[in-house]
Amino acid sequence: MGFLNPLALLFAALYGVLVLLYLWHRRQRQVDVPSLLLWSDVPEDVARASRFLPDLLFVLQVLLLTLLIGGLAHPYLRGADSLRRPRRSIFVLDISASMQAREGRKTRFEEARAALLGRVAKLHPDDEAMVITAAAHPDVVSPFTRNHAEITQLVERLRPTDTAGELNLALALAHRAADRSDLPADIFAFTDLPRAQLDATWSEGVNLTQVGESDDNVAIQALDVRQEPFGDLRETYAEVVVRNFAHRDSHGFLTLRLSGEVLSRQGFSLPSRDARTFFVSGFPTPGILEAVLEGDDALHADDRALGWVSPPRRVTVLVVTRPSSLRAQLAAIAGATTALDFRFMEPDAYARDPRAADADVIIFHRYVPAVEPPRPRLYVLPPKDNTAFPVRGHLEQAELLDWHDAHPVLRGLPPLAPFPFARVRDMQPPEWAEVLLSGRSGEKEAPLAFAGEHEGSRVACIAFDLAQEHMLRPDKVGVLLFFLNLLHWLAPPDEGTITVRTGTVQTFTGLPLLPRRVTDPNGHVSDFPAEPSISIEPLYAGEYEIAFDGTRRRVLANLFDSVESDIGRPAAGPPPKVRRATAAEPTTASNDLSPWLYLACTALLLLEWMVAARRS
Amino acid sequence: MPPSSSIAEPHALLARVLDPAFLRKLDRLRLNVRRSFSSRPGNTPVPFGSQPSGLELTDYKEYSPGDDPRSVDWNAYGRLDVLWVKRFRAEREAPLEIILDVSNSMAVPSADGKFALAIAVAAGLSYISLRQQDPVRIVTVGQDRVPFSVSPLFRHVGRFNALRTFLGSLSATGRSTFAAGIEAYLRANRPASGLVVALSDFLAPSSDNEHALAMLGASERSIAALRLIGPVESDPARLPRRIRLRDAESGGERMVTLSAQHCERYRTALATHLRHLKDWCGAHGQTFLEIDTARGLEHCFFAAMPGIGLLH
Repeated sequence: MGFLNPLALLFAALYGVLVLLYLWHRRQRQVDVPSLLLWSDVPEDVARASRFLPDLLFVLQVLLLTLLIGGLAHPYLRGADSLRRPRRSIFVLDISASMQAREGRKTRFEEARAALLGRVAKLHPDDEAMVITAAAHPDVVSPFTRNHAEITQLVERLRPTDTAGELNLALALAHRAADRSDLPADIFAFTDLPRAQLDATWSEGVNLTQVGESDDNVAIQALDVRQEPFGDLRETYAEVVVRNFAHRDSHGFLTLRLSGEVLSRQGFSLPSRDARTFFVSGFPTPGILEAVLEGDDALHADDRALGWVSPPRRVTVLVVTRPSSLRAQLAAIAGATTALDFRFMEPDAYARDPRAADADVIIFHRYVPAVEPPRPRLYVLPPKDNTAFPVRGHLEQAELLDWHDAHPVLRGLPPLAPFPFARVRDMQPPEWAEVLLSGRSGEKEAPLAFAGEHEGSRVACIAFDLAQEHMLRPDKVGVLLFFLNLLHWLAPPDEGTITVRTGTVQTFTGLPLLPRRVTDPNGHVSDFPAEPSISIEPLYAGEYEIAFDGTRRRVLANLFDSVESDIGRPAAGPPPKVRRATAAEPTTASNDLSPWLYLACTALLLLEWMVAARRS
Repeated sequence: MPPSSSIAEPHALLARVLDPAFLRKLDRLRLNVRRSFSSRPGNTPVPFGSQPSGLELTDYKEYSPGDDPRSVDWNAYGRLDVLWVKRFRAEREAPLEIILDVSNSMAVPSADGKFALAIAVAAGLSYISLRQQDPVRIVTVGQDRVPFSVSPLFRHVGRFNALRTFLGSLSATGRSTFAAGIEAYLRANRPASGLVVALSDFLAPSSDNEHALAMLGASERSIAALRLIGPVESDPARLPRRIRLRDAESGGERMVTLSAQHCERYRTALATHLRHLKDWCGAHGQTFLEIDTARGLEHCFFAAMPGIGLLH
């Protein structure tokens, strides 16, 4: 036999109280009589009053107490349970951002967690349980265990994140765990998603508990700081997109702050399911741009967004070239931008004293030095006999064939005009380089530009002659933008502060080998050992700080996810398919003896009352 | 008056005796003293001697000089020409002596009210005696520091209030025995003639009770033993089942379980004790009365005591 609530056995201490009460009651029953003369014929009790001598009433009271304690302890017969195979329950809890939506006094997460804990409480003592959380990626927070108390404590410590939820992945993981289990397993999911929005493959056979109905949410869907690579703050502006996900009009205020100072506060009204873009410009200083929605909607995780207004910087570029039109073009470009400085040096002068070449970026035009400098550099149309980039031939009038639009150089760049490049060197890109542009002339294809990191420096190579392409012509603005982006990539600004979306892993490389400390938006601190890189996955919106040896990096994480922000859920669908208990699997209730104990207790109480009444 | 109201505080029951309506009822009662050996003239006929006047004509004798001429039976002289003098039964004072047990046992159990009824009975009998112009003395026995104490002699009904005050000052707290007190009293005092009423629960070995009553009856006085008993003392079934009995006088203890059998044993012992006392009193010419405190004061005076001939 076992006990579902063994802690109730601690009430056995009341037996001692019962004995003390009995002794006290006996002690009090002293009766004065005129004389013991007439009592000599009545036999005296053998034991004295101070000793413990139970009578019928006391025995009844002990039995009563035993039945009460037994009932509270919920005994069950193990003999009957031996026919029952233990089962496994896999609990999948959605901890994505939408679960923070408030429904009345509780959030969806609190409701889901309460439902999960209710399930745990009903588990048979021999059953095992596993807990998987579903956020940006699934996470097994507890493998199969019979320690239900530990699971309860663990679930109570869980908190929702500010990330999207990949519930299908979590359910897939749960199904895999169930398939591999040697015991029958049931999957229970607790989420605000309706079954219809889940992959049927993974939602099949899952006991789904859906929480939440409200659609009342106004969210910041995007905050983009548009800052020219080599421009100044006067040209910087930001766009904030606010969307009303509710099916009714919403009102509120949007407050913009720069480094804590209020820039603007605007009221707005948004029709249902509509969006509006707010513009702000004229930033007086660099710093963190914060957008905050003031309203009383159900979800607050997406009411705040952060952006970074970078400080302006000057980039010095040393151009090693012989006199050519390239010098004039670059000088004109320098004159049009405030952040670019071009210096020119002839190849012979460079060869004589390469250490004099002190710049942020070095452009080698039709020249490849014998020793490559350890700094960012751009090679424009290297000579045929250069040793850095083996030349395989050349192309005449090569047309743009393809481009690597995911590369930072080309990200956001409009497609280059499909004009031919007059003359292109066909070079073999090194292993460390990615092809940025590729062209074709006739049947021959060749990379037009490639770039990568080599020996700690960023290196790019353009296979056509910029001087001949006349970047300043209106029809060649694409080439100009490509060139400027390339310079920007070669000498990137200080990435001390970056902006990411929550749930995306961000890796920092090239860090000094020093221990580093990461502080999240909630103030929690994590220490990491000294390694060349560090990866963090922002689970919460806000500012993350990575600090080491007095240096600080910042990651501004934002929840920009229309799926999570669109918290309205249709009504729950038909009841989910649930595995029915078979006849060979008796339920727990039939083995619980406590109802019988309570019944016996009631009968015994009546008997005890009758005995006590008769005695009195 | 319902019987249960007789079990009351001593002073309350004593106050009942002083109720004018109750006193008027007591006025109709007389103590029935069979004989008195007092030399003081009174209203109680004596079995020996005669006197020239009285209520009961017992004899004639020849006139001798000095006899009271008023006692000459002139009718007889007219018929017989002989001077005969009438002789009447002698009537003497019949003092009432009330031996009151003030030991602790008289106050236990308190619900029985034995002591309250005892002093009320003592007050009532005293009143009747005083109304008969017979004196009353209260002797208390069973107290702690002295074996007995004696009240002043109260001679007429005008002293009844003083007697009542004396009775009201008494309390049953003594721990000495009834028999020892009587023995001490009789050694120290000349036994009085008249009626002796012993009010006690007689909870002592029968031999002690018999010895005490024998000492009282040695002077050939009228002895009435009034045994007070209450409902709790009569029937222990009212008590809790498992109890520690404590003797109110000796302090001795006894742990008992009051099963039905044990309760019957007690009742048998009590009945045996009472019967033995009654039989002894009957065999020695002493009056015995068992006074049930539950039956009340009126029943005691107007039914029980007349029933045994103590009052009429």
